[in-house]
Amino acid sequence: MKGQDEKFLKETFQNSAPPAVSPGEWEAVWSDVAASHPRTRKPRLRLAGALAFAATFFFGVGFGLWASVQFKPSSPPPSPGASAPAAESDRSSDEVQPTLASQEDGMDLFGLKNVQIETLGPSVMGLKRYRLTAQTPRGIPVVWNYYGGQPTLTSEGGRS
Amino acid sequence: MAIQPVSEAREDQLVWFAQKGDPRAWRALFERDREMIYRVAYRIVLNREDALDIVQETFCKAFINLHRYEGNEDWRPWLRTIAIRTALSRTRSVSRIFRRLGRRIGERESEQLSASGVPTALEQIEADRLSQSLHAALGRLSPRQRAVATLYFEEGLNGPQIAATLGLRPGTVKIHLARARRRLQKELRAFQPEPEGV
Repeated sequence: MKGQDEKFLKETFQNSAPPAVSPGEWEAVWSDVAASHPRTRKPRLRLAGALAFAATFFFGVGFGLWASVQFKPSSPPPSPGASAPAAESDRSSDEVQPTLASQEDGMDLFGLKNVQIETLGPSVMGLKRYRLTAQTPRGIPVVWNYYGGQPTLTSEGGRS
Repeated sequence: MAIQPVSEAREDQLVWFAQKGDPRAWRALFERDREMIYRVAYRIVLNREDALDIVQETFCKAFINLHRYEGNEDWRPWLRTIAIRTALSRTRSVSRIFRRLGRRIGERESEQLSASGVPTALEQIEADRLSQSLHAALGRLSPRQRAVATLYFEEGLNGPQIAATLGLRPGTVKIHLARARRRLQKELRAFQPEPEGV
């Protein structure tokens, strides 16, 4: 009985053809398939993508370089011996004047030039106040006041 | 040495040439297997236009991924697997839409069929009626049951082969097949010849 059912269903499936498709319709399907031929389209797309990426990348780099030249600060870098920016000097004027006269002895550290660390005043609750002064490669002064135990940077570029 | 026409080339030869980018081999593969893909897709989506779309999508996917095809497996099962998964994915998305509208695609297809089939039913030969009934019966199955039934009854695959094609466990295939069989038998009982000796 089960075998007959199976046979009947198999025959039914095989004898019930889906609606016919005309040659013209097959041709239309093929033309759509051929239009998406990966061997003809994909490499071109890949090349176009790579070119677009390269163009964007080099434009970005070029623009960055151009902008860094164009927007260079007009004020000259502070000469040795100049004081820190006004806000900084106002804030710390009641403590001690920064002594930047010895910048020639400073060292280069993390891309900063003439890095110097000075002690500002006595220790408070075991912490001393320090001032780090330095210059960026383009001459912009950097002043950083901070509390700490002992200065750990030495002029030899290592740690004490 | 005589040059072998593309139409007479073996399947593995065609696939090899297609992998090398020969458009004639592509065309020959398309012409050889399009009917099989169309038949399987139609049984699952129950719609002629969708089935043709699936044929197109299947061949596009196959040709794009041809570099992944390895000669140690058969070409037709590989292609059929792509077709069935594409068809099932399409029915899933279509079903979701109809489910939202409160209807099931299978029921909708059956309703359309029964409505359109009545006026011409008397003029049709028995085979056409059976074919329509099969279509309607398939419409009452879930897409996965349709896929299992098609692979089993039409393509002649066994349980483990169906499981591999659909990415299911053999036990799950067994359940789907049993349900599909029961349903199809019920729907097509009127056409089934009486058992001998009854």
